[in-house]
Amino acid sequence: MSPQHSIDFCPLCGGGLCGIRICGIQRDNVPEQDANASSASPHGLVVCDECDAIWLEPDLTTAHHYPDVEHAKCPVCLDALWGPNSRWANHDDLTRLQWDLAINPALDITEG
Amino acid sequence: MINRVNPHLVDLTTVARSKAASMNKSKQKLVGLGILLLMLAGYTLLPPELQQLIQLQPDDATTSQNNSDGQRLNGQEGKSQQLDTNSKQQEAAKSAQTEPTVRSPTNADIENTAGSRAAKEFGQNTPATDDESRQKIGSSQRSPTAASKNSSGSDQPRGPPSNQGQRSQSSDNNRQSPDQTGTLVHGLLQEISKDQYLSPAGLIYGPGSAEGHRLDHLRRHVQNQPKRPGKHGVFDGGMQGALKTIDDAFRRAQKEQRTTKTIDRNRTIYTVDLGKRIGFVGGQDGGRRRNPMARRVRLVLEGKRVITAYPM
Ligand SMILES: [Zn+2]
Ligand SMILES: [Zn+2]
Repeated sequence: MSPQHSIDFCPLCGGGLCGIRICGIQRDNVPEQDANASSASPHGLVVCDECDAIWLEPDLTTAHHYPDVEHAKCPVCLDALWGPNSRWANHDDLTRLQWDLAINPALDITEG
Repeated sequence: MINRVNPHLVDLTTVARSKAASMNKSKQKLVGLGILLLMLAGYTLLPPELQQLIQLQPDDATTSQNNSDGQRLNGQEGKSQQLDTNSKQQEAAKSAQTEPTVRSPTNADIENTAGSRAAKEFGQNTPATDDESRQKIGSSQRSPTAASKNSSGSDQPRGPPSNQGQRSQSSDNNRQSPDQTGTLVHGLLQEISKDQYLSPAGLIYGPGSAEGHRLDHLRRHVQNQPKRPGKHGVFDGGMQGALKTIDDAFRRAQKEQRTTKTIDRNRTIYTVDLGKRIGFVGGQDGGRRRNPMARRVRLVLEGKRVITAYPM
């Protein structure tokens, strides 16, 4: 499972791609009143696909987080980092997050 | 044992009694001496084989007692020449487990102690450690495909081994199901609890990563991903080769041999030079450079838990 769009190689482990994930996607299907109960609308994360390090902005000079080794959670909404509420961002997701300018197109991985 | 009573403790009121006792004692002495002489005479008349037997028995008893005492106390090796080599080996193994700091440890010893320590943390038995016994267990209890052999391909410095992909696919398609109790996953790993696997060097592979399990993540590094941007380290020898190399790297790292170490919060990142080919550099960058060999391993750990590891 490699990210489709990344911003750089991981400065921590050296070998990973710091890919963009979108989290909170299940809110899209939740009725309006239930969605209001949760504060977290779809949000972006930068996650290393080797060491799981997380950044909350597409800027690797900001503070990084290490999720729990077995039960990795999104630091924003506390949902499972690799669960059904998030995915590696596609191009539409990037636009939605307004993170499309942060990526390095040379690091794109197109499936198939 | 009247004659062992300390004379200073005998007071005057007991003098009469002690006189009678001393007369009794000299009688006993005479009788005892007679019996001793008789036994001596009988002994000299015995054939030499029987004489030897009589001499050995008390020694044997003492030795085995010494040994069991030694083992119970501090794992000291027995000194008797009469022990057979098997029991000597058993003792050596025991002392390797109990006093790793006293002996100059070989790799096998470290493996042994580390494995047993980590296993003890989980209340498990020590896994088989030396290559021979591991292979024995592997071949007797595991499916033949799972016991894939590691070929480092050190005579092939550049590029992926020709049958690398094939071997990886055939032997490592699945992490062996955890219900295979008593078997070693990939010929090395002991399942210590649900989805938790312990390597001989004491590393733990558990759930986590985008792939769902660290072993499934590691599987990414036993095959090239030529389209992946940047470098992609690929281990030689499929999953078993990767796991062995990671254990080797970890042992070296613990001894600080050719190792650089970075600590970031609860993470430790080692880069270990293994001094020989252990894989190759794949990915787009590796492909451009005709897949140069890799002899270093980057190992990211949280305690003994493997986050990721790959050749570089
Ligand atoms: Zn990383
Ligand atoms: Zn989230």
